[in-house]
Amino acid sequence: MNIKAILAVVLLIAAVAIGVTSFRKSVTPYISFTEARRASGLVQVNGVLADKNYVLKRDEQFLEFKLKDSKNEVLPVVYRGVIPGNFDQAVSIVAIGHYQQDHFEAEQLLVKCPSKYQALAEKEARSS
Amino acid sequence: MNLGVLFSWIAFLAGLTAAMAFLAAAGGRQSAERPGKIAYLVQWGGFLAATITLWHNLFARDFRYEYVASYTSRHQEAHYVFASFWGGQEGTFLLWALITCTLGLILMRIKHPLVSGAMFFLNLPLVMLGLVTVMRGPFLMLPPGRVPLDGSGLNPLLQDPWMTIHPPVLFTGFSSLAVPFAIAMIALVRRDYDGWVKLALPWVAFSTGILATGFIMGGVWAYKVLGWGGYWGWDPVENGSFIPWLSNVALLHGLMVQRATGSLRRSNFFLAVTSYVLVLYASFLTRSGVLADFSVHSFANLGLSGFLLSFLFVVMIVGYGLLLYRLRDIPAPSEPLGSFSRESLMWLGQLVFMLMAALITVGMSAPLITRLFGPPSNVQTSYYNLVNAPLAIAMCLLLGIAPLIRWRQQEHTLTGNRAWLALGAGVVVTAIVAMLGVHEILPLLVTLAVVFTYAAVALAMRGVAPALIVAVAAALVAIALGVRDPVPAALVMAAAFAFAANLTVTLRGFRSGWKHGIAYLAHTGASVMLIGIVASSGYGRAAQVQLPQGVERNALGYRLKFEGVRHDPGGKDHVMIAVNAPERQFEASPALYWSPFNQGYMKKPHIERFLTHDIYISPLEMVGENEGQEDLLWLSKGETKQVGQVKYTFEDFDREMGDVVRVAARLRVEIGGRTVPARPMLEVNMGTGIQNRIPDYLPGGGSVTIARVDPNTGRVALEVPGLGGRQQVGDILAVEISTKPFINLVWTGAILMLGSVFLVVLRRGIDLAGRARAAARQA
Repeated sequence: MNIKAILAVVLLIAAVAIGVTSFRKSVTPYISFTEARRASGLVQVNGVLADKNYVLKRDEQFLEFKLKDSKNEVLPVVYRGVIPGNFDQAVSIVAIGHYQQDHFEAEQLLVKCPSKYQALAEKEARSS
Repeated sequence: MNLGVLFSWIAFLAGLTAAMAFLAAAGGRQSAERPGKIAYLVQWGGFLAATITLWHNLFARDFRYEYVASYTSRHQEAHYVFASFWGGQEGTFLLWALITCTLGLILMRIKHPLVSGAMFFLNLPLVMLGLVTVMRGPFLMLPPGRVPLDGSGLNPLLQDPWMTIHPPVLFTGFSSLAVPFAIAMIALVRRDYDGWVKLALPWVAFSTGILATGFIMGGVWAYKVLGWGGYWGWDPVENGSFIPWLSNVALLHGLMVQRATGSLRRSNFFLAVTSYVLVLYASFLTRSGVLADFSVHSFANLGLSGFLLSFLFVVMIVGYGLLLYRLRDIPAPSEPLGSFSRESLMWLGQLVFMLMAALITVGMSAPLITRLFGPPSNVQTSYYNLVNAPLAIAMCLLLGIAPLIRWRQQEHTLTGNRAWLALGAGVVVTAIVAMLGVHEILPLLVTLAVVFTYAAVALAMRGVAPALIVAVAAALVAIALGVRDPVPAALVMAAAFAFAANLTVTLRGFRSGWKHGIAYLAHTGASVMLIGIVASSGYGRAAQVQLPQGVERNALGYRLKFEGVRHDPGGKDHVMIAVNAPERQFEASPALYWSPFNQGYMKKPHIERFLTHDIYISPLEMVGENEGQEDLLWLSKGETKQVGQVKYTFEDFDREMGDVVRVAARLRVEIGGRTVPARPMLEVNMGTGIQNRIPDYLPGGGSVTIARVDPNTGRVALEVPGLGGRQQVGDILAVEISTKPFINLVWTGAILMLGSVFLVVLRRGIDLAGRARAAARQA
């Protein structure tokens, strides 16, 4: 066995190992609220705003609300960051983050608004 | 008569003829070559005429054509009309066909025994692209009653000067990979396993340069215009141009090895096929709509996925099939790949490139892969950084060592004692790093591998001292500037090592003529670029702030004051921010405006440039309690109102109750002298509360949507073309401010790399021409 072959095997194993662990670490599946409570690491949940009783402090960039999924389960979510302006009109909210003690700490909030939703439908309708 | 369709048919049929004639010529019937060339010229003429026709239709604003109606409008500026050629999928296929065909024209003029056969294989993709322009070309006519008065216009996201040049460059890159593929195919058929190298080299170098130009341009565009906060987002479209490039660079180096030592024959054929396969696979992923939810600029589904998939399969079956068929016949190299020679390191470098390509392909295919196990999901962009950083370090180390050692070196001087010593150094440094507080496995392993490599190189190789000193100095500077994580520190160090080693070799090469230094100069460019990438993407500071108008706020030590909105007559408003920075005071004016076309905010960042860094101010949105004005058309039953040239009459509601409540508005719309019915609908799912608004389309591409229904008065509010719709204007501006340290290294490195690569193309072209002349003299 010469150096070159050893190096190649080392590289290959390292790349596969890094690839597999990174893939599993950074893939964020859409999961149910129950699973989100148990999961460790970054996950993705989606749903709608459960009620209008949310706490919104724009200046402090703090948002606390309840997310409701299709099974009517409710998950409290906290998000710190720039709050999407049309947040309360969202027809669907995607939160990426992790569950902490009693709430879901969102690192990223994606808001699907009716208008954007419709732009997509419009695009699809036009091209088909 | 529809000229565009006619020209497409001419091109397609001529392409079929040319393919058959070239097949006959390659089979030994010399007389068929001339008709083949003529048919090929006709094919090119057909594509060119179809292209000119499309441009003519676009500039004439001939809205009878669906494509013209979809991507231009009357008031669009000329250069965007020009660019709307590639605003939609149908146009890009025509562009792809024309460029591939044009490159074939150049290949056809080269005097080389493999050319006529290569022309046959080049016509394989051409016939398939010709088929698409015939079946789904941009020349579809709208039925007479549906011809609009004005088109929808080009997507404002694409309305940028870069759009006029970026897509053609990228498609030239994609198309150019068909040429090495075709040359490799005929080489396999003819069992000429070495003769194709010289013919393919200039093309492969050209692909390397032009593809890199394409995605670097995309990066500049993303940075300066789109305001993603960076130049690279690991978006599927970016990855789609990056992975064929990686594979193509691997091929370029494989061909150099084969030319110098006669080894790597099989893997070169494999890479020539794979590069083109990756182009098609990436096109399939980004254009077929499988990633529609995951990419910023995937085209919406057009039903072309079936075609692209079969295109991909044909190329794979022909390419890999032929290679497998000949695999045993390809002779092994006369001498084995050296143990620690330049070619064996280049072979390792190829491996690194292909591993990068494979891991990126896995990442961009994540929605497909995860679909097999459950709901489709995407990987975070952090995945790409995680997997590529260690590989980039390995690549830089190889890039630094390889040029310093000789070809065909069989023995190595890394004897047992030296190896143990190097390993010892690695363990000691890793232990120190661990004691300093790094406890994750990956950074520690990287540290161990990197220190071992440097120690081994220092002990076993001569002439590396200057490069090692530069590397250590760079690492110390990086640590002094605040880099604490071993992985980026090692990357900067390895890139500096590669830079210094290649600079030495470049200067040495230049002494014996420009030809001998340029390839290494390209490496120095790549190394500089890598250092710039690590610094600017990993070590910028960023903060999001909300700026109430007139109030000064502090972020990252910069004082920002939002002064107001500068209204632009074209509707592209800019927000004015006074910035008080320690370096300089300036007025930032990023663009932020509502686009009715995209139903979203359009943004363009402000970039304040300094020698060592950029300050990047990217507007996020206007927020605030002020919900803003609405520009809607309110109608009572039986009422008629006019907006622009269009009259709307509201007849009545249609209601449908149930779990899902549907309310549709029956309208009569008088447009262009005709009256058409329209029936936009509002759908509310009572269970989930999800509302869905289903628009109806007007002749002309505009749409009517119900914004709101007032059940008490029986009125309906409509969003119609010509009104602003539901704008949200607040009075607090949210921006992200960030710094991009050493971003100029990225641009400097890119220019150095691209410039050198094109000089390499020139050099290999001259070589090929010289060979052809010599062959002609002998004959």
